[in-house]
Order: sequence, then C-alpha cells, then structure tokens
Amino acid sequence: METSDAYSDLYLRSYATLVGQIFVVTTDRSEAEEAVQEAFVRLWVRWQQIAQYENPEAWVRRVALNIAIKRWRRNQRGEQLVKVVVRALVNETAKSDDRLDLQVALRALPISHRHALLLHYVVGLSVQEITDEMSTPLHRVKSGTVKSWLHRGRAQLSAALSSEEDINE
Amino acid sequence: MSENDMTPNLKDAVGRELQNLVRTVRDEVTLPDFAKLTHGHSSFSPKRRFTIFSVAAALVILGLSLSIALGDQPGDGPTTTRVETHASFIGGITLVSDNLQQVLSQSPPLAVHSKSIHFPVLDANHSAIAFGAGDIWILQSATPLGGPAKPLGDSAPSWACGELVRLAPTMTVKGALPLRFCPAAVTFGAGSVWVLGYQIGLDGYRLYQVAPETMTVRSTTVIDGGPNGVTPVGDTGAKQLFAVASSRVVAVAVQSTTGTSQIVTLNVNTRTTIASVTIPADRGIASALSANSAAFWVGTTAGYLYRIEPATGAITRTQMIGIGITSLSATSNALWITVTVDQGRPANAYPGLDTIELNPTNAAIVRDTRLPLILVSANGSDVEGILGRARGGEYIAKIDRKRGAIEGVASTPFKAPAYTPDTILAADGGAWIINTNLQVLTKVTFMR
Repeated sequence: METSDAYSDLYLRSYATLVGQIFVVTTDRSEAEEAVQEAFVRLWVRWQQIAQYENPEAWVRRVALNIAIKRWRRNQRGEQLVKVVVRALVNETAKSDDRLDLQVALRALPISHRHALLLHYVVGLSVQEITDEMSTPLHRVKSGTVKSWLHRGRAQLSAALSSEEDINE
Repeated sequence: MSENDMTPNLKDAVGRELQNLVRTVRDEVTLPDFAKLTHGHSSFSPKRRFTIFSVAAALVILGLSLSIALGDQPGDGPTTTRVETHASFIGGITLVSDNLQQVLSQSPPLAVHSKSIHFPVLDANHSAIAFGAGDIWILQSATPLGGPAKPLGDSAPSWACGELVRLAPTMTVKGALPLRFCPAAVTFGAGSVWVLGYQIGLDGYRLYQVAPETMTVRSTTVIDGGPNGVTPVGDTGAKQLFAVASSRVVAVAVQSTTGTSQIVTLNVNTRTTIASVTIPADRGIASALSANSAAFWVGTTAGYLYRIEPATGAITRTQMIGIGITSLSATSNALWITVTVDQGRPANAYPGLDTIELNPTNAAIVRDTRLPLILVSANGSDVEGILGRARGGEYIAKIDRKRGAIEGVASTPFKAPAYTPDTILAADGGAWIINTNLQVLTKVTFMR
C-alpha cells in the first residue's frame, strides 16, 4: 500500500471515532477535534516511523489525549475557562437532555477519572492495560489507583444518570 | 463492574451510555480535509507519483550509480559489507536510503551512560530544549499531565501556564521561571534565553527575553497583527512553534489563523520586527527552524527548505528535499537535515528516511549520507541522531562528521513500542532526548 494511502485510510477510518473518544475527556467537541487534528498532524510528520507500529491508531489516541489534557489545563487558567464553558454549553443546547446530563456528570469528574473511564468502557482496555497506558517509566500508576478511579467515576456517573431518571419518571 | 474485574464489562449501564455518547459525537463529526490542516503535502500528489513511476527504470540505474559514488571508500572507516539501498526520486533529486536493519547490524555498539528524569514537557519539537550559558533550558507545563507525576516547579503560582526550567548538565534543577503565556519554544542567543508563548483564545504570541544569570524577564514582545503580520485570534489548532536566535536576530515560526506558517525575524536589541514572511500554503507548515552565522533555515512538512537572510528577513533560497523535513540542525560547518522519502519493501528495512548534509551557506547538497535517521542534531563537534524505528527498540546514532557515516549506535533506555523520541539535542558532549508520551528527559553521554 502506498504510504499516503495507508495514512489516508487511517485518517478516514479513525478521525471521527477518535473525536468521539476524546470527547469523553474534554466534554467539548471543538476541543476534541482540535486535539485529534493536532495529533494527526504530528502523525503526518513522523508517519514513516509510526506506520511500522502495530497500532498507529493507539499512538494517535494517546497523543490526542495528551494534547487534550494539556489544552484542558490551559483552558482552566484565567478567563479562558469561562469562554470554553459558555461555548460548550451553547454548542450543546441543541443536543438531547440525556447527553447533556452525561456531559455535566463527566465534567464533574477529575480528568484522570474520565481518562480511565474512556480507556475501560470505550476503548475496552483491562485495568492492567489502563495501568500500563497511564504510566510512564518513571511514574508507575498503581492498578489499585486505576480501579479506584474507575469505581468512583462509574459511581458518580451512575448516580447522576439514575437521579435524572428518577426525576424524569 | 466489579473492582476486581480485569476485563471491561461493556454491558454495564454506564459503559453503554459512554459508548452511545462516543457514537453520537462520532456521527456528528464532519471529516475535515486533511490537506487543509497541513497545507499541501507532496506525497498526496498524483502528479508526483506518476513522475516516480515514469522514471522507475532510471531509478535503478541512478540508485546503483549513487550507491557506487557515495559508497564507503577503502580505508576510510571500519570494514563493512556493502549495505543494500533504496532510491527515491523526489522533486528532481534522487535520494538513497540504506537498509536500516543492515545499518544496525553493521554499526558498532557504543558504550554510553544514560540518565533519565521525569519531565512533563508537552510541546515537543527541537525548540522545546536549548543549550546556552553552560546549561540546558527546557519548557514544561506548570501542572502535570495526569496521574501521580509532579512538576519540577511545585511552587509555580496558579496563574502560570508553564515554566522555563534551567538544568545543569548533571540534570539538577538550577531554577524555574513561571510564565503566564504558555511557553512553546525556547532558544538561546545574544546572551539571552528567548521563549515564545501563547494563550489559547488570546491575541498575539509573546516573546519573552530572559536574563540567564538572574532568571528574570528582560523584555516581552507581542507578536501580533498589523506590521508584525500575525494575528492568532483564538487557537489555530495544529501548532508547530519554533524559535531560534543568532547574535543579532531572533526568528520565530508561528501559525497564522489560517494555519500557514509565518516566520518573523526581530532585532534582538530593539525587538522590532525586521520582516514577516509566510510559507505558501501548498508548501507545508514549518517543521524545523535553525540558524548559523550565514542564515536562518526553515524546513517544512512538505519537504521545502527555505534560507532566510538575517539582515532583511527575506527568503533568499527555496528548494525541495524529500517528501517532508523532519529535523534540521545548522552549524558553522554543515547543515544537517533528516527527510522522509518513499518507503521501500520491506518497510522495516526501508522506512522512508534519509539524512542529508548540506553546505552551511548556500544549502547545496554536500552528501546524501543514506542514513535512515528520523531526527538529527549537530553542534560544533558532534552529530547525533535517532535511527528510524528498528525491531527491538530505538537507537541513537553517533555520526562521524567527516565521513557522514555512523560511528556507533546505542539503544535508548526505553523500548516500549510506540514511544518514539520527540526530539534530540546534541549538547555538552551528550545527546538530550525528549519523549512526551513517556514524560521523560534522557541524557545520553558517549563514553570516550
């Protein structure tokens, strides 16, 4: 397969899905798109190398997550936070109530919890795989910590969703 | 989900909701034209492909001729078996890449000492790290990326987006300067440290001039609209920011609102703009920026190399070398670049990488080293690079400057897959390697 064909194929196949996945962490679609786009640009610069990896999409997801978290932290600072939240709410007003509830519940979670929930429930990684994914060689995340993030994240989302159901009922 | 589950339970109600959310967002996404994101990459050009096919026969002859012409001469280095090669014809130039596996098997191992520290650098290209005043200057986020990692500057004020950190060659922290605008590129020149920063949603990049002796900001220059020609209103998404300084001029590569790269040169004394030039949209975005006494040099993702005259800030030469330029390093005696070329078969032997030595003044090709490096960095005495991914891990290569051949290789400390280093800096007798995915800064010192 031609280099550009393989790259295009990955881009066409994965872009939208990755935006959806990163959205779980950012809860803002434009932020998720920015992160995925930047990750694909970085991939392009080193495509010749990354193409040899077993799973280039996983590389893009990891880079996009790093970028998204970086951007999230930057947006947390100062006046930009207000703009982002307002934009997110304006963007999402047309969406369903259920989705908005889930977004609000996700936003209430620490970003590490969202990250772990994404990897477990959406990407389908086991606790051990999440531990590996979120660890660095010099800072190992303990599997117990990941379990705790998953447990608390799930509990909070579940509570938020069920309370909304109660109200609706 | 049970806390003890080691596999995901995708039937879980929360899991279903999250998956539904992802599917809903996915279905709403409109796929952007990738070419518009990065502005015209030559490898997508059917015309160029046709050209390649049309000269396929000639390639064989040219490749063979070049292999002979550029091959090792008797007595000029260690005895090796001739390495197989792969030729690419791009932009009127034939580039030849050595078989990566054979290069690795024939390169002598070098004894090295390596040390790694946690370092949450986020915007990693070669402008993420600089050497000057005897120390390393590096940028980091003011907050950790996630997990348990702690930043070096725990005392950073809450308004800080990032920090300029001064590291001794021993990798001990000598100081940190919090910066409000998110630092994205650093360089050393004219006795100062220069840091390029931006803030999502705010107009104008900020160029900080920092006094190395006191770690205080000497001046702050806004690179904005009007005469400076750049108005980054909001965030432009895919960023490639660079900075480099000479004794009289500092140059930065930023992105305009449309995503094109803009090279702004400023007088180091007055901080006034000398010129602002834009890389045409069809020639890619800046992927590397370097300087020597003769000129500033810009490489792009579409394989274009620009020479910029420091006195005028004007482009004085443009040439295409390879499909894309992945790194460039200018010194007084050579200009080194790594480029992407066509992949060969098998891909693990011919990953589509090549390293070229150019004339430091006019960028004429001095030597196609044929080395499949992904990154290269040179200073006055050393040339070092990262070999394209080889089975079993990543390798750092020390290059014999006179022969343009590998003197020896050493494996990098981290071999987990998909963890390619982001940048390399040859400085202080060693190689400094940043890996953002691992959040690790490594110094590799070659044992003499």
